[in-house]
Amino acid sequence: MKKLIVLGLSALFLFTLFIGCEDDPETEEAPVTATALYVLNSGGQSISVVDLETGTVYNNVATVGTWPNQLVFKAGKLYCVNTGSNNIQIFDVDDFAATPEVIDLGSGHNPQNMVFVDDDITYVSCSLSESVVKVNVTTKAVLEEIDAGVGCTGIALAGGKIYASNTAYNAATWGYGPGTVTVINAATDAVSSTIDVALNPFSVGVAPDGLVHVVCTGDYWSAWGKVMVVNPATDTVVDSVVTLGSPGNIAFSEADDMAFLTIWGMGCLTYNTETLAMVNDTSNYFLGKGGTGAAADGDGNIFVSVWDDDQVVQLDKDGTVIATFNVGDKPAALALKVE
Amino acid sequence: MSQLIKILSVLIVISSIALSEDYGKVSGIVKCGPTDEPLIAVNVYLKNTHIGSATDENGNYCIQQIPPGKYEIIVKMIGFSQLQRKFIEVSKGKTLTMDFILHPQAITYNNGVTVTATRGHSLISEVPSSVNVIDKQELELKNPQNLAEALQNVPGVNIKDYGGLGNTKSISLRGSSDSQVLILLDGQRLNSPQSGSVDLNQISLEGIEKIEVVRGGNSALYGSDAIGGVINIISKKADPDKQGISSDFKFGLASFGTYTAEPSIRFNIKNSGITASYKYLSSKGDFSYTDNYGNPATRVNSDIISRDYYLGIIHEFGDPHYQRNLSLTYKQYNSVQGAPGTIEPYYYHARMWNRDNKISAVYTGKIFNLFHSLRLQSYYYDSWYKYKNNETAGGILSKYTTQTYGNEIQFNSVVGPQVSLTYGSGFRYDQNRDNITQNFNKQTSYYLFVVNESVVCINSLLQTISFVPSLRYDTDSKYMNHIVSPKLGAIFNFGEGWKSSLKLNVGKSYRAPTFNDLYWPEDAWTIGNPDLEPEYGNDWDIGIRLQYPILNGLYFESCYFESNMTNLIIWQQVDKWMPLNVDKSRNRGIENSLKLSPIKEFLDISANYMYLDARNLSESPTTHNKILVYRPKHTVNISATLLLKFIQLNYQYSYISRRFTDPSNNWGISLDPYSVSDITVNYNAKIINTQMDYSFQIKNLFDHEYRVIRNMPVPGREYRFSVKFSI
Repeated sequence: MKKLIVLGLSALFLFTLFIGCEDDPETEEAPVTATALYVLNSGGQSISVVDLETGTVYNNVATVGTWPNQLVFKAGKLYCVNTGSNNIQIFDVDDFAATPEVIDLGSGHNPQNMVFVDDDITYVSCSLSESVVKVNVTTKAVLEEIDAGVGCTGIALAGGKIYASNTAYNAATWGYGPGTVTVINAATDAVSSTIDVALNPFSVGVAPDGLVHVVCTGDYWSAWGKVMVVNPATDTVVDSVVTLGSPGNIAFSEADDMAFLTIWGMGCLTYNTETLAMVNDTSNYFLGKGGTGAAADGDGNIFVSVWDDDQVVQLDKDGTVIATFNVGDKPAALALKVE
Repeated sequence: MSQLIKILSVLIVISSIALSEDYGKVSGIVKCGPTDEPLIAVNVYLKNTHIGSATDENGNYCIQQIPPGKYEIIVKMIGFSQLQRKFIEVSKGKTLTMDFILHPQAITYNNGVTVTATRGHSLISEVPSSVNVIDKQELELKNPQNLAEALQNVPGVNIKDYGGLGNTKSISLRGSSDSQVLILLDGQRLNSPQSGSVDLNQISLEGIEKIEVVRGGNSALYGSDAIGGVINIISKKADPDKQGISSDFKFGLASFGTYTAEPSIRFNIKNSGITASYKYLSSKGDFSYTDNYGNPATRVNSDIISRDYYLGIIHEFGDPHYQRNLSLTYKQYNSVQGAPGTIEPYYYHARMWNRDNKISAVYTGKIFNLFHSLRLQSYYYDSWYKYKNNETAGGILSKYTTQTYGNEIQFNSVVGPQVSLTYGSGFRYDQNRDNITQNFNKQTSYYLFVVNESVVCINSLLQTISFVPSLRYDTDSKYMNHIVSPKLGAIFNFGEGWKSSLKLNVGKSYRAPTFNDLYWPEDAWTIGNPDLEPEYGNDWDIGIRLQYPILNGLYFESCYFESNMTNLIIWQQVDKWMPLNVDKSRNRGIENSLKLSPIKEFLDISANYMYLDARNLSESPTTHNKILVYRPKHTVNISATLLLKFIQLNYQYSYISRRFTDPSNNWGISLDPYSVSDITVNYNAKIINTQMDYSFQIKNLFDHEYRVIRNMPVPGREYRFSVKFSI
């Protein structure tokens, strides 16, 4: 009897020893869609796809690199800038299961954002190397590296020139030096000028009227947000908008002449790009949460990612919530595909 | 009615007299050899029966209702030599008188005794907690290079290995985080007051006698951080019985440009012993791996040079039977090493420097009489750390100094037959200084604890229930919380040769916020939170333990455990990044252990398996009910040891199932399951007076490429050779 007990227990042990069958993979395949919102989930290091026609969300359809920072949709492909991995991944949006191509920028660059001048050529702002890297995405070759400033972060294209913002972040003092924008002639890759702007120019966008809007976040501490407006014809600051708060990214709605500034934990500040008057300031910001990535389509819809709630919220220009999408972990950046 | 009671009473008396005449008795007194004092709570029983008794406060015992026949009588008590008398004859209606004298015997660490599970000396087979001991023999057999290697095959353990020899290695017990595992050195905490965790790579194995692992919450005995369990590293004590001078020298060579040199010397003169040892380790550390895109790469900047110093002094005084001794230990560890970080981003030139000093003085001895003992301990630790990295924006230069000192007094009293009490209190001071910003934090903590061990006999000594209730009160200057941590353990033992046990533990544990959590200096993005509450864990486990005399000693243990954790401290962005008591989690699972020797003194086999279900119970829809990061569902360890005359051959196999690396359980960045095999061959020879021990190891025998932490590759196949000369 005792030996039976022992044998039984041994069998139980062996059973539990090998009960450990592997779970099935938990991945979703996104269908090919005409319009889509691509969401970069920085926590889950993944991409979610929101089918804007059906409202269906496909989470974790692809895996991105370390410290992913930006998604860009261009000519049928989706580009992800991975700061920690020092590379750019290129995804086929019709087949996310396919292994993405990778453009390696080399150690010590910390790429932040990219902007295309055509379907092949892109410029990438790199904070650690304090430079802008010119890349051919077809050949995956680094063509040029152009010196910019300390903490080169934001980047935009206007009037055939690249505008790269330099935050001048000083890790030793946890503070910021004077903010600047390096202007690069995209035809010659030469630095044509450097423009002084306000503290911590974190991102750059081009308004529908062609003016460059430089979002200066401030130091999160004592200096608050300001948008500096640069005329690309003269490369001078022609105006500014005092936003207050600590705005991060910017998106423009051509339909409404509106600019949307993401602001952490609050949602969005907005201003009119023609009058430069604040519409929603720190006293009446909309959404009231989130505020990492933002994207606007041509129909007056604004999409804002909510980091804490793992959601993307679709709003109209007045801040009315139209839809809420549950996406992956810690959504940080958005890109729109509109056909 | 009263008439009826009288009649019944008379009948009972008559029947018991009649019955007792069918049986015999054995009675007598048990005394202590050197003092002639009666001993209480001594177990006296007849072997292979369920018949026995224990001595009372006068040392008397009486075993009744013994069927006539020949028996073997056993007299035993922990801390004393065991007595056995064979062929005693018990006759019908007779009382056999047998007196015994027991002699105190020094408790050695290698006889199945734990000092961690109850804070006293208890037999592992009789404590309710799940305990594993890695003794000196096992350390010598497996020849681990660091504490992580020593612990990696223990049930319930998961080692988080951040890469090569010099990289961080941390531990999880039963699915806990690394800062929820309390690491002790001779009973005193090593967890950093700054970060809460311990890098197992920084813990020297020099001068270690054994390592005890107690799984499950244990704040009731040891205070903060003991949510997942406790690991107690016990320093080697000089053995004054081995008089004279002895020395040894160990030299090792290994893959990746690694070599070690370890001289040690011991003096034992009369009642004093001195042990001094030194270990030098140098490793280039570079190894090959495949990067995230399938390209071959080399893990550079993985070099390390470390030095370990150990000095142990012990002096025994007074009557040696009373085990009074004073021991002093000093340890220093220093290292300089590359700090490559992850492979994305990769730091090619980042460097790290460490220096730790640990000094401890322990007095142990009997006081008043044989039934009370005292343990006094004073200790001082300091740690200096520097990290320099010019490959980040603006560069990083960190320098920290941590200092700790404290005192503890502990009494153990036998307060009645089969009842003992361990109680005491302590004081500890911790301080931490950021040598760059001069940010300075300190805390003073006080605690009181009491542990009771009571054995209740059911029918006989071979059917007992042991209760181990314990309680601890902690307070400190940091946040002035008053924390009471209770625990109740119970174990039902039955049988002797075929010994079975049913055990249960219920308790409440906590982890106090660290200096970083409370006082992180305010900057643009982050700020500490001085209002934080401790993390709490309510845990319980229930299990069986079987020790049967088949297959030359079969040992089987199975345990279900569950721990519900609340108030988990998570850094979140509010206005700034700051720690908050926001999350909840639940860890539950099953641990199974099996040991057997199919061929006596030739082949030992052990295996363990843990099923773990560690879930995040936070409110977030993305992470709710998801598996916690780096918690494998399945962990399997198998070890087989072949013992020949001069050769020992050990094979170890480990399997770790898939682990998620992000809270939302994205499969795409999860880590594939892996299995690793290690093999060790030891050869011992003696030429004249020189003992030579050769050891050859192959780690990761089949050269599997795997990762324990995302973006942190670990080395492939590694060869190690060492030779030790002992004179």
